[in-house]
Amino acid sequence: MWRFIPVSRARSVRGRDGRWRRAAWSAALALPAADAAAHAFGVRYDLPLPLPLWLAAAGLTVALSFVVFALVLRRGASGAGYPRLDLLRVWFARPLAHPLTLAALRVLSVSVFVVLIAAGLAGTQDPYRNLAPAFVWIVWWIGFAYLSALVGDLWAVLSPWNALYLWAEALARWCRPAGRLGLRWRLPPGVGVWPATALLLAFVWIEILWDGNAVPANIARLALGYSLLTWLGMFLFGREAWVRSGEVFAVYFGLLARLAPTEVRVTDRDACEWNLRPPAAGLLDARPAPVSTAAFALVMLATVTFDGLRETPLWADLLARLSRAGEPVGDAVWYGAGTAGLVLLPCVFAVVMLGVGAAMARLTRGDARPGSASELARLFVLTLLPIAFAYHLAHYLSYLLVAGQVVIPLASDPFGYGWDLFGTARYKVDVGLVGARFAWYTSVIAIVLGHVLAMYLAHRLALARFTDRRTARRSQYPLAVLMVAYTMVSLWILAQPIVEVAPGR
Amino acid sequence: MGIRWGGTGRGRGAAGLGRVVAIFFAVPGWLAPPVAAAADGEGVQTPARSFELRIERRRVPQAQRVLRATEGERVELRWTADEPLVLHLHGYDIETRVAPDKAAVTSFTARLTGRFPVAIHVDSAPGRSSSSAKSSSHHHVTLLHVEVHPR
Repeated sequence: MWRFIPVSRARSVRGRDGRWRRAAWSAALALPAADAAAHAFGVRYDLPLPLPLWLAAAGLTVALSFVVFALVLRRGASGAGYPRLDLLRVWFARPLAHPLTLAALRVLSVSVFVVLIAAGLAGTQDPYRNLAPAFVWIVWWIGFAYLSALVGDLWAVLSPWNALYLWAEALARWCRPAGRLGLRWRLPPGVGVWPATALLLAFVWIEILWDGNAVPANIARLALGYSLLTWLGMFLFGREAWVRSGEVFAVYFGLLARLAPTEVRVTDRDACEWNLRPPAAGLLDARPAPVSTAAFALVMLATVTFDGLRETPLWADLLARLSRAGEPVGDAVWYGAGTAGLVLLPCVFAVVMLGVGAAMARLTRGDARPGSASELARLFVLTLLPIAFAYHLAHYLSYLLVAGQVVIPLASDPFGYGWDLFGTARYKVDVGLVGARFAWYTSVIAIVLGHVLAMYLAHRLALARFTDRRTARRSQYPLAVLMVAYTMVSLWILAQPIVEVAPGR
Repeated sequence: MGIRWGGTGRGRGAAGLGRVVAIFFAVPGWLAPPVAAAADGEGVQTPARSFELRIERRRVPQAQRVLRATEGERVELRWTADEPLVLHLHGYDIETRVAPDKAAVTSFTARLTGRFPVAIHVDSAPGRSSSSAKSSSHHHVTLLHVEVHPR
């Protein structure tokens, strides 16, 4: 996680001599003591989950797993279909999907994007006083993930990269009605979401490991670089094709939006379908995920877990052991171990998932439609998503609510020039907005619900996949073991005290 | 590292799931942390918790890296140090200056729950500041954490 406004579960500032740190500290030290204190605002971490709650969550997880086993298979809700309600037929929802509304939303999104780039390049380089770091790392990267999973795939509408390219296409059509923008090369068929997967790994590396990730100018430059890459991809391969396989955020938020109770589908430029559906029904896809999508999902799951793991005493001990005795953790150890963990953990997840697939294949050999290890692993891998999202929520919700408040003052003064555009520049972050109890209960409730949802979805898929109900049940044993283990790991991380690795030097 | 597992049911108003569950799973005493044993005073009226902390070479003893308090308590951190330092309790945003010849106290009422770092800001040149900014950039060290648990 971005570490500069180290509130809640985010790592605290590591004392490195990066430019941004120096900038921040010289600013802090140039002020009188009271101001310097106010400068490093809002540091609060969540408390580790207490044992009684931990036990309750673990017990509930296991008990409810059996309930799912007992009920879903008996009721025999077979098939992977689900009811949909088209919101566009509902009078009050229709204006929300009107082309003008969509255009307005896009204008808003592009404006925010432009302001963030400008703030990054032209604003103060003190990460506390610049809107870009807080907005990008807290409000957008965490907040938008929640919005996607709890509301719907809004990124499809709001993505500034998509919107700007849409406008460019419209402009091109207006200039030369016969012409069209771009070369429309065909992406090789096996590409899938591999480009997005690689970009996700790079992005997460920047997010949780790179020291310069809070420097406003770095954020702006990275955003500009990514814009060029995205538009180049769109130009070469067509907008939609690139959004499907290379626009990492479209893939990421799109995957999370499969958990949402609505489906937003932008079919054409401004035409849009909008259905209400049972939450997480988007994961009930009876076709196995393509290999690249499965890989993307595994990277998502593994990096979320890794981010939590990195803040446990276990990881701190490992880094300390890798460093020379008595010396603080150096760059080589920090980046080496972090990068290795970031790359290896998805591999471990993939091996485990394939192992589960193999076990399922073995247990269902007698079925009329037996499957291979890879096919079954890819069919069920997305059902782990609710657990990952629940853990993400447990990990970050109080962080979003507390640290996210910094955008209230920063919105009024995005460049750090002392402006007060909306009269909120003097807002002070309320560290006590959510307390330990809130964090604990939301964590436990989210994790138990996520687990139950995952189990339920997997059962539904198994019933759709296998002809015989008994084989369907048997297929779920290995997966249930995996899900319980995954949930327990998440709970275990939440029960660890958050520790920061010793400063650089 | 001592997680404060036990004792959820203490104090008034500790209702809710935590308490109910705590009764079901009688928490073994060995899980109780070493520090919390210090002052579980029954004096609910004027609860206070005081810690004597000696900083040497910018560290406190291992057993004091996590200090535990309960919401609503009066907390006092009594500092002595072998060099001049500025200590910053994050979250509560309290700054305390301590020097070899000058003991200091950080005191506050634990209204906010959570885990709050106390960081050392090196006070190399009190009074003058910007000239020493560069050297100070290397010395932002988390000394310990104060955990304030809900009642």
